[in-house]
Amino acid sequence: MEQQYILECNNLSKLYGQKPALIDVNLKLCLGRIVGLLGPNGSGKTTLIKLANGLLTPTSGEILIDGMKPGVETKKIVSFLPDCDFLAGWMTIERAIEYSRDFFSDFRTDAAREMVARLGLDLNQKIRTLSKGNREKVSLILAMSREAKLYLLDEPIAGVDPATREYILETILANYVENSTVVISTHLIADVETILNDVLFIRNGRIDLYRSAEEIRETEHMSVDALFREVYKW
Amino acid sequence: MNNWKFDPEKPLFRQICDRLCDEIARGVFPPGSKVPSVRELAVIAGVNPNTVQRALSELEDEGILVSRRGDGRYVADNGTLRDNMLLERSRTATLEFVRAMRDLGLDDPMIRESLEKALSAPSETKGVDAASGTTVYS
Repeated sequence: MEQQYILECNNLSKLYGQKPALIDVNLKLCLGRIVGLLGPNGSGKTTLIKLANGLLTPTSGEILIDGMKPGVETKKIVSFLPDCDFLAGWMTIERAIEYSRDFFSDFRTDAAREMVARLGLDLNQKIRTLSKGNREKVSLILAMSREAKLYLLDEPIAGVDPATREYILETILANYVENSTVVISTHLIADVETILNDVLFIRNGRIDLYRSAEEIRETEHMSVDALFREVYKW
Repeated sequence: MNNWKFDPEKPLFRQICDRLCDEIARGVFPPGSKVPSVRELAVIAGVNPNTVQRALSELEDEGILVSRRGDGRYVADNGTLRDNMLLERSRTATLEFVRAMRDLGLDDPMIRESLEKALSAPSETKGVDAASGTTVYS
């Protein structure tokens, strides 16, 4: 029997008009990994994540989630954290939690409330009144409160201070469910590299490298960050 | 919370092993005591759980940790374990010290003299040692 991958891309390409965003991507991700999708701005990270969520459709080739084309069934097993602010400002935190619970049967309401409380935030506070860092934390809490098979976190640590970054990475680790896969897209490699199993280097719409982070340290005697800089010397 | 610092150019599992051995040698985890779970250590150290798993398995293979089915991992209840680790670690530290001094061009009498001086000085190094001996997991 053929092995089932949680995320599989076969000759996947995406063009915006004439402009290619992803070119002939072939990729197979297994369950039980924390994967860094690492690339500079405009390299295709967000396009790949949007394709996996069915927010975009491939120009050619295919993308499969747990063997299925992105759609209603895959949304049940994929937890997606977009790179933009998606929470409605008029909602209270509690309302946002209930909203997620209504949408997703795998949502852990108590876990979400507990994480918000531990942050020292009031559940009745309106999203609109939160600082940028706290909004990002609440968004992440909502994403990590699901018991999904695949978490797609688009730039979860961009634009927040180092303490918030640390909080976010800790929250990912603390909620990481064994046998799920987490994909973290970022250009801040040094900040995430210790929590990754594998790294994917992407640039100009192509995946140039897919390797284990420990193997890079062991065989290249280099940090992932240093290898990235070497591969992508301008 | 995260007070673990890593050299990102070296395999992390080795550094986790070293750190835990240090803490066993310093008595943070006495023989027979329970060590944190893979998940707890992953969060404390800010490291991938598989990497922590690999480090703990390695220490198990070396007989430093023992796993009890369904009840996590414990420091081996072996009377000489801590002494041996202290001995090994102090030997390494001493060799490093001597190498650094020789690199500076000092000969043996000079190294001895400087060591004597450092030992008899009312230095802060003792305080630092005591402080680092009380790593607390919170």
